[in-house]
Amino acid sequence: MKLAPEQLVEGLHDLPSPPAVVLDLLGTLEDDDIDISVLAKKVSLDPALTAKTLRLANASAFGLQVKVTTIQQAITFLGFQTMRNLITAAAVTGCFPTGRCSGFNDRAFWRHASASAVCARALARRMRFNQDVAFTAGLLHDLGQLVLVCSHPDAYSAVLAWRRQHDCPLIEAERAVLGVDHVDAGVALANHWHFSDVMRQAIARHHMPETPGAGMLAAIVHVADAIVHALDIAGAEDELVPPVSAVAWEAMGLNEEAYGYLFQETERQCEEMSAIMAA
Amino acid sequence: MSAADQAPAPHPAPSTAQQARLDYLFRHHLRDDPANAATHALRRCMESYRLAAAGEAEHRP
Repeated sequence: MKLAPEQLVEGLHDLPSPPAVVLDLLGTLEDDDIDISVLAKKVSLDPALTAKTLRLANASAFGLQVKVTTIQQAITFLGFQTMRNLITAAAVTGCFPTGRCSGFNDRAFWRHASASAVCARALARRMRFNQDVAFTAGLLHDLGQLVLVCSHPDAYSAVLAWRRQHDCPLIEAERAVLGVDHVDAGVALANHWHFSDVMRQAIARHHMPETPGAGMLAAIVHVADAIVHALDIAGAEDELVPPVSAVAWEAMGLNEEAYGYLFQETERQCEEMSAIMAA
Repeated sequence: MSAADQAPAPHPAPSTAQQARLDYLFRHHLRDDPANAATHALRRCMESYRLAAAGEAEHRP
């Protein structure tokens, strides 16, 4: 049941691609040199993408005092950077069909991804790091799981069974059964969809943030991921907190009280977000 | 005044069920393993957070 690297890449071609405008955005997440009105027009041509993006924009996590009804209006109120990330989030979540893999809990996956996104953003704010990039990285960090689930559903069912039997981290079960893991699949997807380098690095290193050159974003996503597991947000019965990297933990530089506020913020904001993401 | 009268009020504690769930979530991490210091720091923060939440719930009208 081992997968060769080329089988990973072949599987990517079976996935629906995000709209072209979103692929542009994924490749330029850190650039400011994009024509906002052109972006708004392109997104508005896709009714499903527009609707989901506007639902996200109107989520209380973004603190809008008025309800926005157009992409242009949302950009005006939330800013271009935030909207760009919300458009990306809305589009990417729509690319993976659900219910294909026996034993895989799509709802729990999106609850974890949404909570990681809001937690990474909250950490980034305290670190004076780009919050929007952290939000997107938190949301996308485990996307490789969905690649494997959608491309090789039967094999991934075997991974889940192996994990239950051995009570081990998911990544260990993936390596044991498939010979590759969701990080490999996530990096393959990041290459296929031309994610920006910083996003690719965060996906590649979120389990090893102490690797030289991994960068602050990988550390933020790593800590956010561990926090969300510890907060037990996904609702998975066999939830397990992964080991936390001392390097990443120290890099956050937060005390117990600060973490308390961060946990509260994450729990409060993730409910609404995950409902939108999973829809 | 007896010693019992002078004793501070007991600190609100998370329910046994919550404590058991934390034990389960962190089941792969031995408490006194120095190589796992950051994971234990996260657990301590989580226990404090659950304690505070339990305290707040107790004082809520």
